[in-house]
Amino acid sequence: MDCKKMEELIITDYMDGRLESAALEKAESHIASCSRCRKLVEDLRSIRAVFKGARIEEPPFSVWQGVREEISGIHKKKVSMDLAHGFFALARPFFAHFKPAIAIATTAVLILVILTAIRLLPFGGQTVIPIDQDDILSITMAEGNGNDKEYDFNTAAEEYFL
Amino acid sequence: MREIPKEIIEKAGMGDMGAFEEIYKVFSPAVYTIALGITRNRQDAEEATQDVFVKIFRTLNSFKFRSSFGTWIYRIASNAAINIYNARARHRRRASGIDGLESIPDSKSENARDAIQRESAAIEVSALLKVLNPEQRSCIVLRELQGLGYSEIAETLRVPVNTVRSRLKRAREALVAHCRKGGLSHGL
Repeated sequence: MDCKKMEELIITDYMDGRLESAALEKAESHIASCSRCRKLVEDLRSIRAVFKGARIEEPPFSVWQGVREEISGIHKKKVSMDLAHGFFALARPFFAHFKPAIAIATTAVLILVILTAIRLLPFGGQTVIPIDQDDILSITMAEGNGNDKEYDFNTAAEEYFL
Repeated sequence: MREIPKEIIEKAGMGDMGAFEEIYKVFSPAVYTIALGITRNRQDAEEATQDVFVKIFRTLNSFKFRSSFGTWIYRIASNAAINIYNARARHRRRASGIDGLESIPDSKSENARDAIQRESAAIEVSALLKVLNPEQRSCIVLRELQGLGYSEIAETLRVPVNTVRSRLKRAREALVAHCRKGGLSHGL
């Protein structure tokens, strides 16, 4: 096997113990006779030693605290969603059974709300106050006692009716 | 690769915090180390670790035991770390080592010499990993720091075994070239 192909084998399968015994023997025989490949193995082993010297590190305690805080936020959200789901699960049969009646009732309420809103809406910017017929009569039949001021409403309406 | 009893996983999946804490204690060092190796930044590694375990808590119910639990966690960890690394790519500081390692370790909390040695090793590892792209970095970290085999790495990263082999080959070629140019403190 030439050096180039052996290099690839050394960098991967040889360094990671993946060679079968026959292939391993061949590789080691080549390495023993080739200074270039021998140097490559030494360099790779030095690099591996650097990684071996690095310990597995534990994260600081603040990481666990952060995890707990986020999880408790998830828990609270899940509990309130579970409650909502529970409510709808209980209510669903009720709504399914009384669907037509509920639809009619809802529509009726909506119509009532709309009508009420229309009655209360301003008309051309002025508020229309309905005047009772008796009031109109009493205004028009009022006798003057010299003091017209009693019936002086001082409004355009007075002039209209009188 | 470390494993954990199925009952603990199932209990944690039902919201048992004690069981979940056990999972955290077993896997957080590996997750943090993977994240640190890929992001090369302590703050990012802490953020990635937190994201990983929150995601594990959220999705534990959907783990169907089709792959090993450790593989599943390592996959989430690698993806989270690579995502954070890529997101920070433009804002990465041109530091020669892992951020935060230059400070003098607190000699009251641990043996100062051990701490310095640990920090030196971490700085050296960081300097080596800096040479690699995120995909090569994750393969090297899983292989050299976690001791995973090729098929375990392939399952973790969801790539073919030949892709793992190819990435390790390119990563090691790059590391050897870097070290021969004087990239290793004690030389080659």
